Amino acid sequence: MLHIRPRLLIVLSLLLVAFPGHAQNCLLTISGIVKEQNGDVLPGATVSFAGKTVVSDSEGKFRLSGLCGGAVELTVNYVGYQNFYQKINLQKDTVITIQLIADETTLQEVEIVGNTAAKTGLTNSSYSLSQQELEHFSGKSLGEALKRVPGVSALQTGPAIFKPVIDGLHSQRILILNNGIRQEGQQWGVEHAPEIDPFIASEIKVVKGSEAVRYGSDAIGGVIIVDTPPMHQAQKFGGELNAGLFSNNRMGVFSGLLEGGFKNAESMSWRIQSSVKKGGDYSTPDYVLSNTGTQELNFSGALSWKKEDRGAELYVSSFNTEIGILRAAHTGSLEDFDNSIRNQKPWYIEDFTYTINAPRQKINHQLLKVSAFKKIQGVGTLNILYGGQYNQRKEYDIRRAGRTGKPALSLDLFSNILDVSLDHNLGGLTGSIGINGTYKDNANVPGTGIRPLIPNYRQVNTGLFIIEKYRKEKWLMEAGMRFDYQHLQVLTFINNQDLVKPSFNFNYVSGSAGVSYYMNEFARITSHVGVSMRPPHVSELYSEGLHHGTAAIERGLMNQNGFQTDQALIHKEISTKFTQGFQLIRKTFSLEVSAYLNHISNYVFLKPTGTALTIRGYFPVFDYNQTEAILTGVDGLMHWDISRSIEYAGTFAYLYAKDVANNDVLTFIPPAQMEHAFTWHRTLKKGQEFFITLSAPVAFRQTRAPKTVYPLDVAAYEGEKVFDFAPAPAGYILLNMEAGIKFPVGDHTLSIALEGENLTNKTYRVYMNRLRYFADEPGANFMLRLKYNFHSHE
Amino acid sequence: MRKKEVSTIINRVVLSLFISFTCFVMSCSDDPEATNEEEVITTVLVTLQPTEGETVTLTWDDINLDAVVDESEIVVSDNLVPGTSYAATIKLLNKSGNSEVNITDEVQKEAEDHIFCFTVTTAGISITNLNKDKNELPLGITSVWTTTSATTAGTVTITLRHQPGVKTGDCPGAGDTDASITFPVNVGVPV
Repeated sequence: MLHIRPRLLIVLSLLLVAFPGHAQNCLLTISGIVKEQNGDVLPGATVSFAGKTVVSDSEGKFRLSGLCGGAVELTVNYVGYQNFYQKINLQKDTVITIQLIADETTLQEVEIVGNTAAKTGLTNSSYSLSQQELEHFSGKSLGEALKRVPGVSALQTGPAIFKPVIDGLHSQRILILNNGIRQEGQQWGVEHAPEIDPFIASEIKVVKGSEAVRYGSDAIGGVIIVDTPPMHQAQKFGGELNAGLFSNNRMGVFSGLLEGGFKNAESMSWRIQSSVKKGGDYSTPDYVLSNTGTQELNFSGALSWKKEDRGAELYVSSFNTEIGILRAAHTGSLEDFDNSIRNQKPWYIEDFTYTINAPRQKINHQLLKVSAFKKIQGVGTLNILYGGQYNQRKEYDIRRAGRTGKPALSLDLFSNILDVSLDHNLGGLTGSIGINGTYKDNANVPGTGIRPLIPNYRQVNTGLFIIEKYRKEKWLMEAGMRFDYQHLQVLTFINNQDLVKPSFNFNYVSGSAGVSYYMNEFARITSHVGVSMRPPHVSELYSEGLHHGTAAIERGLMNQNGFQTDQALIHKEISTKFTQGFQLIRKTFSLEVSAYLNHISNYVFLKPTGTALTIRGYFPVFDYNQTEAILTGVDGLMHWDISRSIEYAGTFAYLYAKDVANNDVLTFIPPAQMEHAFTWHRTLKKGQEFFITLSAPVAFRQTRAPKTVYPLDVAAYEGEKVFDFAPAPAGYILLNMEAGIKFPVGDHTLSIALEGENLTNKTYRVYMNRLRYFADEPGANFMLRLKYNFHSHE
Repeated sequence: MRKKEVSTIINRVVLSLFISFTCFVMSCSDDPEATNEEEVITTVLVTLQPTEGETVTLTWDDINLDAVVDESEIVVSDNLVPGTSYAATIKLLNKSGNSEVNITDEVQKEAEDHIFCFTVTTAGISITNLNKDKNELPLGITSVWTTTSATTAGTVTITLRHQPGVKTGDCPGAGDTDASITFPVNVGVPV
């Protein structure tokens, strides 16, 4: 159990702040000229020294007078150029010529930025959240931060559980790569969020097309790559401290990172990191969302040994969380459910508390990674990686006779991954060939007293892939191919009595090809096509029973027809996705648009097939089914420096999804969304940077929502079309504001940001939040974030 | 020197393989055992004992243990006699495991968190005098069913509400439904 006092966080954070002062002799001047690299003078550049700021005139000249003596940093900024810093020890009047270097990012540079670039295709549509962007989300969950990416939304279960959805696909169709290791958790459930602490990330990249060729069938809908900062080799000691306070749920978040080298082993370095979080119940503008508290305690450590041509790394991480589920969302019967929906207000509202009661989830995820690389002369780089993961998931329900303390669902998933790949660069051809192997063992921990929703299973996967890229003049081409084999053994019971051990063997192939044409150094057009296959997941094959989270009885593909479904009737999902992209990056303007068409045959979905009268009353029965689906849409982003200090950023996404075979809509498809953000930023004296951002996320109503069938009408419902228990909520516009300042404290840096979310305290509901049946979204939330970076060289 | 480094790397690979192999072997779990369902209610038995005359029983027994209430599983022993007062007792059982578990005992132990709600669709029966919990709020494991002199046909729905911390004595009130079953009950012999 975790107990963090938010007050302690404030004290700790304040202790870190210190301001230096200095002596006076104030008659000196600095003058000079600001030039471009080619020698042209640069009017309008901001020159700051010791608290004074001037702008260079039409001849690029500037003059600062009345300055005091001493060593102070001179800074010069101009939009589109790299910031210029020089420490000047001012003893007499000084004349200086400053040359600014154009900061024009060309497309080629964008592609190689970040260490994730090599791991994905270049012609696939992707988006990276940089460290700076991630700072705005510190303290939030991974899924919530990813909502920032156009085309990515989140399937929510209340205010704390966010599951990423990429272009309409989620769960077992999306792969999350955590520091190079595929995350193996219980991703099948819609209320199962990724078991990852975003504080470990220095960059998060989302690839919106299939990366199944490199990563296998789990990546059929896209990949989320969470990367940790590269290990520093220089012998220095340093770190980072983060603190965050959130008003809505009175949450405190604290994280710290320390890293350094070893005196006697220059090629070795280490890093340790930890984060803690504790929050209580969230509140809507009108009431407390009782039992939505959350707490988290995470730890990670890394040890690296790196030479020019070889290296190895050991990484361990531990993620531990406990999350309360809105008390009023626990549904004993369809009548309760119906009442909750029609009341428009949760039936259980108590005073704010940090206590987390049932229903709740408790998740522990441990990871061990061992990796090594070796450069082989004339061939390339050989990479070997092993990952072991132990995922424990316990869900607690409200039960009789003291059983509330006993998990209603308890799953232990143990997985092993071995990846070997050879990256090569031969002439104009770069690529990678590799093999992966994974072994998973999923076991229900006995003693729950409830029939497990998914059975025990063992799964072995092997894959062999090759990806090649070829670049010539204005063209970039890439193609890849993968062969997979999966063996799955399920240990399940027929009528909860007789153990059976059916086995499945799947062979499948994935392929992708893409081409980019660079119209000039700022614009390119990209076309990509990916064909990937995915065998159904165990949950889709063998789910059985009443799923309290969804108030429905679910039956897997194999559990229909009295458990006698013929294996030959089970098909692999086949996705064929075309993506057409356009990218433009200019000095003050950038635009990226991608349009896609994803055709999925044998798409697995839940189809309502009737109702069952149980001892708790009627429940709808959903059978897993396979159909032909189409998901097509367009998303984009735009960035525009309107003036030297004002920026605009906008994103939008629209998705149209259809069950072609049944002429029906699909469930859990995000509605059209967009966001507009204006930022005003300024460099103040002594390298202080200030910004203020005003943003407005907009969500439209989902007009292609499934037909509404209220819970009490379920028994009388006879149609075959998918349905939802309540109509799609109306669209909304929110207003958020953030202001921050970053300034040096000696050699160190301190950032302080104050943010307000949903400033107008608007009452609204989100279509993609499964708890929208019961309650509104949280109201205004004010956040204070502090970040302190320190490094010392030895 | 170079050879040594190569062998170091090979050693590392072998070690990783060894670790993964060990994990592979160790984690091969044994065959699971069928779960003994603790929470389910497989049987609802209502005994209606008149001051004089035949006892009437209303029963639902989930014979095939599929958790579904099949019509054939509901048995009402007889019609109620008009103008009579019956002492009703509800008994809930879980017969899904090896031994029979009396769920009524669990409800009794947590009487302050539970309530039986009755919904009657005929004017011919009134249900009163529910037994009470420690807080003097109705519980309903026992009650009194009184019939009028008229001959009527209808149903009685018995719902067990689980209301930890939120029980006020209202029906259905806050909380969740643990069990809900509808019995056809006639008073007299309907024509």
